[in-house]
Amino acid sequence: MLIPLILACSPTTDPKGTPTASSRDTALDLAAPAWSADDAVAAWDAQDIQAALELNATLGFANPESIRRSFLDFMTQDDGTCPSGGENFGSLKCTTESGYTFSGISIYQERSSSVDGARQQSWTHVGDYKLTRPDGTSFESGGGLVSSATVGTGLAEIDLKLRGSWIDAGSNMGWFRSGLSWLLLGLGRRDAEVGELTLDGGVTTGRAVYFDDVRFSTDPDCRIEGTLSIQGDDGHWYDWQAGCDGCGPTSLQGGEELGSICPALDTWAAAAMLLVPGLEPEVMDTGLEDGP
Amino acid sequence: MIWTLLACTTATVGDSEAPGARYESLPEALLLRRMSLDLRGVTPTLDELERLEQDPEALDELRREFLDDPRLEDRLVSFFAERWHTRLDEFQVGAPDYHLPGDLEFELERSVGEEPLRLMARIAYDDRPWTDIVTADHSMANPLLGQIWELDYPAGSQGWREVHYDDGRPAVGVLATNGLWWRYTTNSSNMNRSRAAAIARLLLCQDLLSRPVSLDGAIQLDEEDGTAEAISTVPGCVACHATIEPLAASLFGFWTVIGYNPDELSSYHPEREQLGPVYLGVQPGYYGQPIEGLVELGAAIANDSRFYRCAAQSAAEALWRRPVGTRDFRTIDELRRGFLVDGLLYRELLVRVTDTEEYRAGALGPAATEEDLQRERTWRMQSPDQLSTSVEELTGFLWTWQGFEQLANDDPGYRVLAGGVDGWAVTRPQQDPGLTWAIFVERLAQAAAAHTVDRELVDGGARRLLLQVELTDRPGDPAWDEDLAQVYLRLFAELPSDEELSEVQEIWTQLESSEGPAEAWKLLLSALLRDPRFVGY
Repeated sequence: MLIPLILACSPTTDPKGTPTASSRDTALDLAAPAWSADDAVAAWDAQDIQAALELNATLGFANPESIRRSFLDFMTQDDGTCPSGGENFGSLKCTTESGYTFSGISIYQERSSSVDGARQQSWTHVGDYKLTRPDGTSFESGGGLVSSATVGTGLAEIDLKLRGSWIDAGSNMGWFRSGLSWLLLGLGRRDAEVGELTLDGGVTTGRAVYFDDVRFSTDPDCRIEGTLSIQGDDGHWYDWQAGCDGCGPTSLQGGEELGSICPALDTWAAAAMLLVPGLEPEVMDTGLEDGP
Repeated sequence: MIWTLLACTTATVGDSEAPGARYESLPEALLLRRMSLDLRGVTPTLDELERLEQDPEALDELRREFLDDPRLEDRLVSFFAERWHTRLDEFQVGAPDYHLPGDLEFELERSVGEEPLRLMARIAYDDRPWTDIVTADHSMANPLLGQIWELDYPAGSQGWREVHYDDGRPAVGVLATNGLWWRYTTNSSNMNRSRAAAIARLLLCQDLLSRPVSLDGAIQLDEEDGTAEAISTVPGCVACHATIEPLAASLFGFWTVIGYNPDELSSYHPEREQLGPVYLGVQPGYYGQPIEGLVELGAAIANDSRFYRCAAQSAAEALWRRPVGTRDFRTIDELRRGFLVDGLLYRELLVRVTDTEEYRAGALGPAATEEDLQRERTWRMQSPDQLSTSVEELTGFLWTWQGFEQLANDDPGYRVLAGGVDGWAVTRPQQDPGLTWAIFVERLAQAAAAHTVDRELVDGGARRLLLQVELTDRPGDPAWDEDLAQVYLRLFAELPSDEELSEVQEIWTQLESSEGPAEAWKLLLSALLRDPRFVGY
């Protein structure tokens, strides 16, 4: 279509060789926008979106606690000279006596206190490193994790800030083994009746998903609620408005509606809830506190 | 030196122009030499000069052969590098970050910087529509990039090949290359705005930074909140930022948490695409038109008339070796229209540019104005890339040091001293000779001359520049005389005058009597290799 138009608008000149205004205007029209965002066509239908959500869920739900444990497992190999600095190390490259290699920079801080009977536990980890096991598998990081939790007998709360890229080729968790990139904020709470976690931000584990105020819950009547978006193969995003019944409409982001789906995400949602700590075991009332 | 150059320029002017012309064309042989250096990076062969002498109509045919020559791709990379500024000496990560040996540092820098340039050059060379540079679903990589990034570079292959990333980045050609965004970085205050400005400059020739801005002194630009408010409310700011903010909002897939971490930098982060509106408070857009994000940015650019004009303008600037100004409007517009008529084929655009009188000028004509005198470059300096390839082709000498090509970097090389662009501090090629340039050229010429004489005459190696002469030959011997003539032709595309020939013979004889024949040849060749007729074109 373009070629005939181009040929039709090839430059014309007056007898002196000067391009005429009309020829210039026509030539300009050639390159006028023939495209607009409205032209975007969904490459996926609702079933494709459901299948993608369910497939992505099989990788599991990324959990910062697993990343922390992987890091601390490596640190048990610290032989006193490699890496120097312990958990807050900076090492160009060193290898421990047991064959573990440390290269990069790490900051790790852990704090714990007790206020009004509730335990406050927080940890921060910033990693820009590559750690390699004797079997050749590596744990690589470029980001930071912050977890601040308060755990009491009747209420547990957590505040998560999760950023950067993390991959552990030696992990047995799919999301960690295949690599993870996120910029995600989480707020969770749990009481004696229900636990819930609200997420804002994006995670790529296999496929990119974005949580826009998505709330996971242990409430069997409302496991998930909010707008969950997933990226299609064509680079466009597809939105799913999750309702409490686990169903909701889908659409091409900013575009056409594609129908309702009810993806099977209960296992995944339950895995998300693992980010929220459990309650302290209830203290037995011995009746001794008041004493004789 | 400069006076010598001017004298030389005057001497090469053709004399068959119509009275009143602004330009006087180069003689055919010198025009062939100019085209050969621009399109292949080497001087014409003796056979090519012979063909032109036999048939002046052969110029177009020879130009077509130059355009078909695989070396055109390297030349296009050089042209694009002068404008895109991606061939930096240092990125935020280097060889140690990828656990590579230090002697691969140059190759890493070079490879990363050339990724977007190679993509454009391959699209141009393969006669694919120029819009592919912003819509292609692939990039280019060599074995080193294939090793450090998640690409489908075939194991065991060599050279630059088309590859695909496997990290969810959209099909937007150069806009999805690591090499582009490693050069144009951002931070938590800038929020991709400088990247948006780079897109406008590189692809639309719209330099937002050159717009006049009048700011109210009450604006608190030293405070982040004050700046953020001014961007959306103060007319002097909004004028540009109304364009920049929506563009910037589409680029958050290349947003990094740690800007010097190889994992963060190597991969695209599709989950961060959605953060643009969150961080900037605006939806992605392209000059007022809503777009879904980076995925639609390439198509939006490809449908912008400025994109085609910019392609024509930048091709003209590369081949005219000077910036384009308002006086060039008509010519650039004709090139743009021709580009459209040709189906957006970049090689055809090169044909059109090399047909312009500005390209073919060997001197200014009687109708030239003072402005023409100031801006036109009828004699052009060979760029460092051209010098590197032309000297290597003639002498076999490639200036390297510990893995670094010395004409292709400034740490520890001499790219800027040689008139080149480092992409950071120096962003336009040097147009006129200078002192450091002259010193550099002298050292290059000496090293190349010594290299070729030692290998070809002293060690008896394969002949490259001196085809038949032996150390026992003297001026007047056929081998000596014929070799000198062919050296002149290959270096300058012209023979020496009788007077010059006589002087050269005399100088060589004097040098030979005191230094011996090998030194005499070295000194003669080093003088020829820094002659304005060789280092210019």
